Amino acid sequence: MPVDGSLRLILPEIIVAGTGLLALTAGLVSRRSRLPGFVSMLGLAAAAYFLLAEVAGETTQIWSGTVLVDGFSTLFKAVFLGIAALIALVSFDYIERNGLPAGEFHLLVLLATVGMMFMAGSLNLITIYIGLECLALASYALTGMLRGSAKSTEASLKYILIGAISSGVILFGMSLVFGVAGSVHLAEINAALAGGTPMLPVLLAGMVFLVAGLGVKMAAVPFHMWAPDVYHGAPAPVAAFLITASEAAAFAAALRIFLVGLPAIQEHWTTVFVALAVITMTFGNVTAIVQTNMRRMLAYSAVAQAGYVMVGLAVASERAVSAMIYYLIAYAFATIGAFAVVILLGRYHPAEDIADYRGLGRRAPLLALTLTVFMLSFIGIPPTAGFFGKFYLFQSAVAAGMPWLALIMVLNSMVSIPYYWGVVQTMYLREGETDAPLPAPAGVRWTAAIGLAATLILGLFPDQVVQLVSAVQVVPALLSGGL
Amino acid sequence: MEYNWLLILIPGLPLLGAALIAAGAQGRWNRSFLAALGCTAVFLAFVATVLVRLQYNAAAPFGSVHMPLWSWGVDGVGLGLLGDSISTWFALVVTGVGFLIHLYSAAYMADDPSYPRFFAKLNFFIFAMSVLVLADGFVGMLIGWANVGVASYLLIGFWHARPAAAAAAKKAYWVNTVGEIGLILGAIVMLQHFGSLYFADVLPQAWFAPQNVLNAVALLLLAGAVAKSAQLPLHVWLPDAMQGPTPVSALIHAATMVTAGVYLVVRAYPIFEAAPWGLPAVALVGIGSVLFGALAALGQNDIKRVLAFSTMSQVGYMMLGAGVGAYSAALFHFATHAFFKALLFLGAGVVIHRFGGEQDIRKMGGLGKSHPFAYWTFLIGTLALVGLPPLAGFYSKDAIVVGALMAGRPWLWALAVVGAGLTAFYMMRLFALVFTGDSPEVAAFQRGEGARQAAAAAEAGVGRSRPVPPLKMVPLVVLTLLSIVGGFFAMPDLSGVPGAAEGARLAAPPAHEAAVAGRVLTESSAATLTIALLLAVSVIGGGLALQRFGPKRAPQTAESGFVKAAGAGFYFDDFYRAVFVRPLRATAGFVGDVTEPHVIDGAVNGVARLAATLSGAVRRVQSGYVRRYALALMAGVAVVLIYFVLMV
Amino acid sequence: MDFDPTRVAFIVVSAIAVVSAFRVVTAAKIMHAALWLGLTFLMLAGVFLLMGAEFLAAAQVLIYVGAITTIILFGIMLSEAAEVRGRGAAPLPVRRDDASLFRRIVLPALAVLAFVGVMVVVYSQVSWPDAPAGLGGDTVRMIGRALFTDFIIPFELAAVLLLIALIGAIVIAVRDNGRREQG
Repeated sequence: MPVDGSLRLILPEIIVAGTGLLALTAGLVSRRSRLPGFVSMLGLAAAAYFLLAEVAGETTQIWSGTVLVDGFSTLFKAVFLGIAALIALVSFDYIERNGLPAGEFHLLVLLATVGMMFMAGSLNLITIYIGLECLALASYALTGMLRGSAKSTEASLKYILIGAISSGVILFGMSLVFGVAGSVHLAEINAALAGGTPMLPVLLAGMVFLVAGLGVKMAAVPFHMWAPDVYHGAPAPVAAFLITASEAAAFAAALRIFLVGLPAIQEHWTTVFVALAVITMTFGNVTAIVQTNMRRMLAYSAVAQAGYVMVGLAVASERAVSAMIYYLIAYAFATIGAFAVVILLGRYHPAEDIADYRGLGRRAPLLALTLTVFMLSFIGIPPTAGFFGKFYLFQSAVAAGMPWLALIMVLNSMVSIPYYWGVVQTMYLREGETDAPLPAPAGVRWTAAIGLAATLILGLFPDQVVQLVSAVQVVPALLSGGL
Repeated sequence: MEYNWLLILIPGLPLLGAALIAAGAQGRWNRSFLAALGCTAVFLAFVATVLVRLQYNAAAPFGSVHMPLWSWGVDGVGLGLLGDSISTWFALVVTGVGFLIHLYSAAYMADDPSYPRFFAKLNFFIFAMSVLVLADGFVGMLIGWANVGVASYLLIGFWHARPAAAAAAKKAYWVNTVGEIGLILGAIVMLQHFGSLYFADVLPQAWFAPQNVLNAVALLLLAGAVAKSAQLPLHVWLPDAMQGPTPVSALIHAATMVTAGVYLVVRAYPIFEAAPWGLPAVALVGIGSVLFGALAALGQNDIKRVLAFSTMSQVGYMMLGAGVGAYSAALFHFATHAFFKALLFLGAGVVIHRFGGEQDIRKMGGLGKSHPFAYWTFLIGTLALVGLPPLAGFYSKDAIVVGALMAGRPWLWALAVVGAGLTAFYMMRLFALVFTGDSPEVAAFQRGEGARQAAAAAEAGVGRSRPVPPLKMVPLVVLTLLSIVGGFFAMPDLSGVPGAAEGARLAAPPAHEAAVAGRVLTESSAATLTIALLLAVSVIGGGLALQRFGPKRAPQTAESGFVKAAGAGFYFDDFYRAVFVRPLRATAGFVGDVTEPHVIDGAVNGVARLAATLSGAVRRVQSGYVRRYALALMAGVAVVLIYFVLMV
Repeated sequence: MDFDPTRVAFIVVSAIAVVSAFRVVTAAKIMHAALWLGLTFLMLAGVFLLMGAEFLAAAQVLIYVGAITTIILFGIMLSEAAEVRGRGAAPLPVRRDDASLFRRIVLPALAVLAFVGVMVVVYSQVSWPDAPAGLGGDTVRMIGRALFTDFIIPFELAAVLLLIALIGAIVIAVRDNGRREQG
């Protein structure tokens, strides 16, 4: 391997993977201690430092085009690192309480993060696929970690089976695209298709399989059916991880694959994504209304939110992409923050019914207020981050001449009000069985506070964030000349 | 010297108050102190409003006080406060009447265990309402709009242990959501077309925008206004909202919040005026609500429901005023109505307490002898509402009706006169049933139903002539005075309001002239005719009611079909239930069944918990659920593939 | 049509692969299913061979037929659950009513037919390019070279993947004696 400094560019990934092994070792040294969590957070911080100090600003392809470092990948990697750190923070108490193997937990989270970083950081279908598999395998194991819980085991099994199918579907799609374009590198695929699409039906079939396979990870209807079960049955921090990071990674990969690799058939995949977006958000919202369990409600809400994000893929303009990224970041913070409260409540009310939130306004006023802000952000009420996420997506849809899609988004947001607002109402208006205060562990408190701060900052200074985000290009500049 | 920062205090102090009271209630602070805190916050906000109004007056005629608060960096989307002719007028009434009702509540709610919570919510409402009226663009207005909805929801459901209150709160919420959808869509269209949501950007441009855009915006905004102001056909929530405590009904569901729709129409009047369908639609909604509310009020037997339908009818007058271009008259009627309707509701609160919680006016009577204070205040409120000179309602209502005639709409004018007659009839019916005749105890005694009932009533403290506590008396007295002299205030005009200058430059349309000249018109012949007619129908209507329901009322006979229909609000509720609620419920249930036939039941019931082993899970998986997921997945792929095979 | 031994061989091999794959799903005893799976793998190796991918065929036999099928068989034999091993326990109860007939036979058949039909239509609409002129014999060398030069990062990432699989399997499968209520 040439010593050309290219290793430096994947140093963050290497650090994260190494940290995983360290965390595992730490878990072996002192079982059920907090050590692995601290190791993990330190490692993530170091990786983030190297990412921002060394890698940021670089745009280059290394190792025969199997790895790409550019603004887009750096941004997504930073998001993944942040999410992983928050998950580590929020799960201290959870791991201890449920007797999970701390070392293994953090190892799997970190290695899944590595997988996601490669999903966002490559234009090579093979790298993307293996990154996706790293994420998937780690997710299955994390989902099934609560071995004393039938829900968790069942969710894990369902996830493995559906995940295996989706994996096969993605591979099939990639092979069809490879068969037509003769390359696994997205830029070369693009170049091969630029002069015309000779085998259009096969290419379209490949595209459909790619959409479906990635759709499983995004939890797009009708590929979503695993999602509520998994988000409901998995350990709560894992559910938060899957809803935020895994979904974001799937969107990152989809952006690269479709915008860099397959712009030649953009009219076709945007059609599919329009339909998927509409179906997904509507189905998710309507089904969320009838939920009585908090986790299940959040699960269907995650489906609906994926539908909103998909509007970005349906529009597929530069503006839409930055709107998507903004939305994913905003949604990630609010979700993890909300899950911090869910984790706290789950400690006292294992059933996690929405009814268990009765009287939370008195039992834990600050956390209840925080959860209220997250719910407002999910609905999209200003000045929370969620509003601007929806607003930018909305604007991009209108600008792309799809005002009706924007209208459907707005109507869906309206439909979503009752179930999000229902939680707030339950917390403040319904009397709980007890007024006993709920002491929150430090990890939960900090996570909720960070989520709150981020939700408000993103909502109060959206233009700064959007400027940052819109500097990022899905199609890296070094390719646009050659394309 | 600029005192723009005073603007912040108007919503800021009540918000601070709400937060402090909420925190104090956690800390179990002294109840009276918290109530005093709430009253003080609103009083200071009122003082700030007065100061801003003075400052605005000093800067008049084209002045306004502006205070940008926040910009999100998106062009045309931001939040700021604007004190101009319209907004300070509204803010004065909101904080002023709000303060009086705070005072009244301090006595009225004294026995409620959630006393501090009530004040926190009331303060929060004042905050939200001030944001609504003081916002400098549709963004801030929407924020306020949504928050008054929340406050209204919380306060209607204040006694949420009562199922009726909870249901009423939910209903109000849903109807208002429908309106908010309209408002948000309207804002979206405006942002799309005008590139901004600030009044100062949008409204002056409105005169030059294409008609279809204006029509769309006007109708969407009107949908929001109709829902919030309980106008036809989205009025159904208002009568039920009377489940809230009486001060809430007085403040939110009579004096202030329900007039938000009027505020919206007047504020955005360039849009409504420039849109071909705008003003006619507003006027139509207005006159429809005037007549519908008055007719429905005829059949009500609950004192608060009579007043609720009366509110709907009176807000209809304001809408009518706005719809014929008599904006100043509409604003004027808003203020006077706030005075006398708040007075009537507070008086109704006294009455209800007097009868031990009874709200059925057929079971009341004879209050005039035992409670002269209540009698006189309520009488003045009633006469002001009926529109007898020189009370407040006379001036404002006449200005609106005259405006209709001046705008060249004789039909609206005629119907408005008819509405005035109906108003006199139902109000005098209410007054006569409650205050004249025999008290229920006497009536029961005379019917020979025995002393037992009377004794039981006496034991419950009913009928005992308790002095009205001063905290209740002061607001009643002030509101009575305002109801008497409110008509002498100067009407607000629209100079200096965003969009007004451009409208004036554009060879002001006739309707607009009528608005500016509203006060002058009282001298014209049309006005004289109107006044004479209004007085005549009012006296006739009131006289008929007094004759029929007064001291020598005939014994109750079976209700006619019309009265029954009016009592049921002309079956609007049943209609909505059949057309929307039931199908939606059925759909939701259906969706639940179809989309989620197999919820993981792992830990839900004990039997499944026993089987919580890997093999147990495997068996459940094998019994079919996962493969259905996979089938759905592949079916999705197949559908998309088939689409492409067929289409491409 | 000319008699083409390769084509005939391909049809035979792939037909056996499909039939045995079907039997994997429908076999009543899991042991039988595992053996059918082995046969499927073997036939797939045959398909690879017919396409000139010798290395892939060899790997298929070594890994799938040799290792994976064997591990599955071991897994079944070592399993304690009686119904998994298929001895001393009745096979899984199968409801036989009209609805189940629809679900078990008609629906899957429809799904498969629709899928096959669509893919046939897709493939038949395209004029396929001629098969590449052969990869030049030494595919092992080529694959090895590609793996350790161009695709070194995916290759290394695959190592991470294996680690995840290993740890994940342990996490899920290892017996925890101090099992307690979780959720």
